[in-house]
Amino acid sequence: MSTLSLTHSVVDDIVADLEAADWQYDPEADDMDIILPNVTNRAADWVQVDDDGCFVRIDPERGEPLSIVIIAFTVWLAEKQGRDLPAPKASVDYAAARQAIAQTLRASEDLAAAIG
Amino acid sequence: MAVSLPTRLMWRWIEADPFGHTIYCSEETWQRKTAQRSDLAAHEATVRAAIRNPQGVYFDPKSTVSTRERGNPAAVMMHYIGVVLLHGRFSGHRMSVVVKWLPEATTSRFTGYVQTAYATSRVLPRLQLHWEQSP
Repeated sequence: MSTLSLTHSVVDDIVADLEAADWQYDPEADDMDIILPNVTNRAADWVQVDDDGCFVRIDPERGEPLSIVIIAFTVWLAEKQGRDLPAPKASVDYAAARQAIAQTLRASEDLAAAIG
Repeated sequence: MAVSLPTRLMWRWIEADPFGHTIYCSEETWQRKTAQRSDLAAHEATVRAAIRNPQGVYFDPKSTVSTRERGNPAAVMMHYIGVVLLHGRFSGHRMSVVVKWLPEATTSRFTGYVQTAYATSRVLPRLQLHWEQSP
């Protein structure tokens, strides 16, 4: 399997798992942790996948993605949707978030380098 | 209505930043973040050092506006970014700690509350440099 197809495969697996993942939103910190299904939490390496605050935590031994962390989640999502700021007091739009995460992961050269 | 002052019991730790602000990290925040990001648990000293002795402190204008609209009208969101780590899991990364500044009622000073922490390989471009360590 080529590096490129391996990368696409891993990213496709993450994207496919997003709906079943455990989305843990902290409204006080505006922090989102998306725990991928069927993983046990353990120490991981952090891969910064964009310049807006999205990270993927990966088990360095097995290369298994464990979770996605998004700092200032509502700001991040607004930026991905081309808006300057989030809508005031809007609830989390999970469908839009899944789409934005998928686009971000597929475009990330840093993620490709980490898992390729 | 009486305002309850922070008690030490609910705080996991308290640090002073380079501006002399008192920065509080609650036990609840630390437990929640390390449950989600177990790698942070072994780096508590690094998180505290990023506040006490940051390489840079950055203002997050968009997160500040967003936080104010969510019910904290005087909040200021800051990122304290530590030194580049040379060893261990986060080698090549910097520990970054997001702190919510709130003005004290009777002074012009701020008190800070740790919101989250993350390991970053580069500073987010939307952040604005507020202060940096002298070379």
